[in-house]
Amino acid sequence: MPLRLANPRCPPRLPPIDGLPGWLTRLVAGLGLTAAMFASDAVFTPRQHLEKSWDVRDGLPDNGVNAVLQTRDGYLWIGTEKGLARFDGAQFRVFDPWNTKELHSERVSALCEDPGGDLWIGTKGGGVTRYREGEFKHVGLSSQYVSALCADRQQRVWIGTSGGGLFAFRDGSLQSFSATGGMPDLFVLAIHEASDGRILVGTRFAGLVEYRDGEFGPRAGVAGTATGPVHALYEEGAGRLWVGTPAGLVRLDDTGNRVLTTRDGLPSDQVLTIGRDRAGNLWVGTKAGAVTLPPGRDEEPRVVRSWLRGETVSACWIDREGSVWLATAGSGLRQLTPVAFAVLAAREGLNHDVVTCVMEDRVGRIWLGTYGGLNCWWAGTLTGWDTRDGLANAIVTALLEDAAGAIWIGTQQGLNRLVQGRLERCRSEEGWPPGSVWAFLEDAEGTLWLGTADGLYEHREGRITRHGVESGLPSQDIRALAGGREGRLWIGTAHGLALRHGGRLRPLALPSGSLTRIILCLREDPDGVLWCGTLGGGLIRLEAGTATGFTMREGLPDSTVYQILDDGEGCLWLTCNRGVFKVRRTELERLARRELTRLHPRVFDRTDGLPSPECTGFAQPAGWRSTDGRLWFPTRRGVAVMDPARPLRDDRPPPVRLEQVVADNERLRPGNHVTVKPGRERLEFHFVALSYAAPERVRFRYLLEGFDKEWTDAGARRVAYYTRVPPGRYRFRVTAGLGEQAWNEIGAIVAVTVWPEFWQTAWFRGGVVGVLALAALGVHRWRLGRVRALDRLRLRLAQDLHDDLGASLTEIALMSDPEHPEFAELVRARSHAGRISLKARSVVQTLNEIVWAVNPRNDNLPRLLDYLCTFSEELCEAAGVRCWHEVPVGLPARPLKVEFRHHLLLAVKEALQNVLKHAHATEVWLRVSVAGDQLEVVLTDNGRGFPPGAPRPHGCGLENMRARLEQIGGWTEVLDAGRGTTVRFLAPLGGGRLRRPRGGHDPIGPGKE
Amino acid sequence: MSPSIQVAIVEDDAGLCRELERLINETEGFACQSTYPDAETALEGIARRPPDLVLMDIRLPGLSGIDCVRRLKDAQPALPIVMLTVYEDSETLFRSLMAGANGYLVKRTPRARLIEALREIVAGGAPMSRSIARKVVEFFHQVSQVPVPTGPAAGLEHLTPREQEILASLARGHSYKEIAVDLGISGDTVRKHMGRIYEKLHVHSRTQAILKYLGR
Repeated sequence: MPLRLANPRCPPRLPPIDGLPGWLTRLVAGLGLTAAMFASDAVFTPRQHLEKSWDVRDGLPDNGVNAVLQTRDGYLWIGTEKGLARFDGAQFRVFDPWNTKELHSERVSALCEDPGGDLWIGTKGGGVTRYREGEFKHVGLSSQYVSALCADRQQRVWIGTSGGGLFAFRDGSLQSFSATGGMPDLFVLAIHEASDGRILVGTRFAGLVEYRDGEFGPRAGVAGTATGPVHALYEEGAGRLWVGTPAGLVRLDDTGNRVLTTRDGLPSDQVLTIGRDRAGNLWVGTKAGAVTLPPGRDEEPRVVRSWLRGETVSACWIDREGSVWLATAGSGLRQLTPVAFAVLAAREGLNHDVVTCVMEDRVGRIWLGTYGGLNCWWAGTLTGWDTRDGLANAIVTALLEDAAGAIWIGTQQGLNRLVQGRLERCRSEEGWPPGSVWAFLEDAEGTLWLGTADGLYEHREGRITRHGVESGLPSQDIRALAGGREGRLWIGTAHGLALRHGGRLRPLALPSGSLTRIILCLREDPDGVLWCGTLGGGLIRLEAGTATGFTMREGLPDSTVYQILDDGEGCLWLTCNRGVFKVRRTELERLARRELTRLHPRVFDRTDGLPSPECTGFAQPAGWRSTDGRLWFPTRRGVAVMDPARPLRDDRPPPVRLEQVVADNERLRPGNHVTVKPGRERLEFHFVALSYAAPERVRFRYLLEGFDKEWTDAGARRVAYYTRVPPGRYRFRVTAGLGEQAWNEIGAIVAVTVWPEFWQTAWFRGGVVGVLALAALGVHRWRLGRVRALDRLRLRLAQDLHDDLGASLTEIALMSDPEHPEFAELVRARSHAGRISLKARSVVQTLNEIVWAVNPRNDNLPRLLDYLCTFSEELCEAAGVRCWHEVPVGLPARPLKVEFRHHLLLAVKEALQNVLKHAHATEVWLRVSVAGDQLEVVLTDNGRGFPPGAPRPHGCGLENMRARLEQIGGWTEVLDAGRGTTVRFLAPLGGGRLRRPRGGHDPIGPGKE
Repeated sequence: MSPSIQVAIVEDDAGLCRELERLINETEGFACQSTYPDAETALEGIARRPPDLVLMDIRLPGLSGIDCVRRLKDAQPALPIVMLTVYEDSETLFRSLMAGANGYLVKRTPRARLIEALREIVAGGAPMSRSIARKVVEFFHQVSQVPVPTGPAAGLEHLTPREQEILASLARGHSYKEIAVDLGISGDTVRKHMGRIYEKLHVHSRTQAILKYLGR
């Protein structure tokens, strides 16, 4: 049945049902309904697509589009007159001969994808280019005007040109089919692979040609048809072929051929493209628009909807999400996404866009109250009434069908009734309410209740009674009425709830703390639970006296609920100012029992096809569930209908692709692995999710494994930024999801390696650490050495102490023993005691020496000389010998090793003691001189010396002296001058060794004069 | 006969203190007035009952002998103080001399010599060993290189040439008598020169130069 839009100017009449006997009415209605149901969406004249258009303002290179195709990776490719565009849902990336030299022409005329995933691009005058894994490569046919491309299952790519004939590309070589090859026409317009492997070629002059088993021939069974140009080919299942010609759309199958032309509803006879959507509808593009044909094997093909009137639709494509893409020759690209909601609005013929209430009568007709009167939709026809037809007011506020079949119409200024096709006025003089009627209800006893702004009216057995506040109502502004069990009447007012039960009318309390008392809608469940929708107080559930409220705090998208519908599947559908949402009953019950704190409703908005998120709701019924299960929602932009049982949308998450990785403005080729040079400050990852149906709902999450601790929510952002990523190996992962729905399991992953600067590498660091460790070890060992030296000194001290002092003190002890025989006589005792005393004193002297030697402050030259003076003076004084000093004063404090001091002092001391013991001298001279690095100590006495010839006493003293000086790198010399002896000590102050000069006297050995 | 010279002994070793006390008391003309075991009691006691001479051990518990000398000299500049030391550590002795001590004695010196030295000090002498003399020479050599501060003591910083000669002779090993003979002056003059050298030392003990020198 063709579409007919209601013309309000024509005398209104109901579709030819009225007047017939009831049973017949119902039979016909049933049939019609069945037909409507069977035809389902294909017949659905209300629009059910979300339309989007894309042109140069959005980034398309040109408004003239010749080809559209979606590759299996998800990208949408568009061939235009000014280049090839790749669309990712948000942006167009353009490839043309200026940025891609493998494209030889910017006029892209044909696209196809081969089984291997490569994209083939045919251009006008630039031959064919192939795109594979990010690289373009020109294949051949440089000067040809490519008009069609097709990849078959035998790894061949068929290239049709205008004027060059047909070519087939396989395994790297191009085979040409021209007249000699059997190709009857050099002007190819379309190529299609049939299900049995035949290649169908539409040509300009030879009609439809097929290539089978290496030969060309006219299509079998197409005698007499399509000798004219064939622009489009489409095989619908085995055996049925659709052919687009300049003389219309031809259907070829075993029943014969049927041609559709403008007479059948085509906007133009010149058919340019044919495609099919996921519901099975056929889409036909012509020179003056596109149309949709419903599927149906055995029926007459008919046009049910048309699009883009006046536009040349040259190509069409249906993407994987089900959107239909129509390419036009001058207006860019049109995208039609099938959505859940079908819409009837003024565009489809309603009196007004704002629909206030909707109701279905027993026959199945849908009554719509609008701001411009009343409409009735039935079996594809729309009828309308407004004030000119007798409606009390254009704004319809309530609807009801009573038991007798009359339609009651409440308006803003009065009441109407439609009885047997005639519109009657219910006058206030007769007792009817004068003003707005907001709700109707007919109860089981046949009483008609009217909820008005002026009170509750009761019409029973011809009498009209008015109930107001005095009757027990909380307010006279009645907004909603609902019937319940056992004859209950629920009354929703602007000031709360009331219940009429058993003849009594009483108000009911709402939950304390509810934000409002304005009731907008009521509904009683079969089990007696009452649901109230309120203005500002959300949804209220009343069960056995307990009331629970659900507002935005509990997760509702809005705190106003206009209507509550039950879909029969356990969900409540509610309308509000922010769309339509659905919530599971069990969730609401669990929240009421406090098992949950928040609801998670499914909200439907514009992306689902809802024409406006603002539903209307002051009129009742502000939503209806029709007998076929569909839900009708009135909005400010028409009435939206949907079938809750049908799958709503493909909620599979879109494929994610990592487009590029940028390191400090250097683009890196993304592959599976990306290497970043060292020292890069910024790292960017650019990604897309290929979703075209609702790209605004796409959300991203990403993680750089090894750097981030947890996933970052990027929202709709398509770039991840990182700064100063330290060297190492990482993995970047990004996933996408639609809204809060399912997220990609894997998404896109790329391995990233950041190379370190040389000073960051393990080698370098290891080396540095190694060097430091060695240095530390060296320091440690040096200190250990020092400690050991100190220990050695201490050890020697201990030994000295032990040897010298120990012996002396023992001696003292022995000597002073009272049993000592020397104590026998007093005189001898005295001298004995004197010797003890002396011994003791010498012990102290030794201690003094030790103390002096140990003190590190005496580690220098002046101190050494001082000490030489001091002890020499003491020794000489004790022995009664004059001691003269020629020792320099004020020398620089040159440091001396402890061994040096020790050995030198002991040597000098030894020499002095020798003199004092053996030389019988009266005077001793001590002369010290420092020349450069050399210290010279000369000890001279005026004693006996050694008698000539007499062997030198080989006392240990001389040996010791020589040994001691050798220890410190010096040497000793003893000179015998006849009158006294001179002992000479020479030692290097800075260490090292002094060379003994030639000549001189060897201290040990036979004496020489 | 002049009254006995009252000697105060500051010595922490009890045994040695007893010995010294006996020595003093047995020596004609000397008497041990009091003994103190440490510097604090000594300062207090000597302030109350000033003796004629103080014998002080360099190493004392608590406040050191050198600090005690300084304080005593601040309070009573004319009081002669002789340091007692076990070891003839020139450095420490020099410091005590700079702090104001009039002389020093080595503890193990035989009794006779001890007494002789005491008498000399009482008589106004200023004994100085050649090690100390060397140190004094070196010190004044250092001082001559340091900028001279102004003030009433300005004239006392440096040694006169005669004083330098005397010190050099001392360092070589000559006795005071020999020095007097060599220089053709009397023994008293030599002693006077020595006294002045000591004074100069004491003055310098309060100037920057000393602090610098001590700080080495």
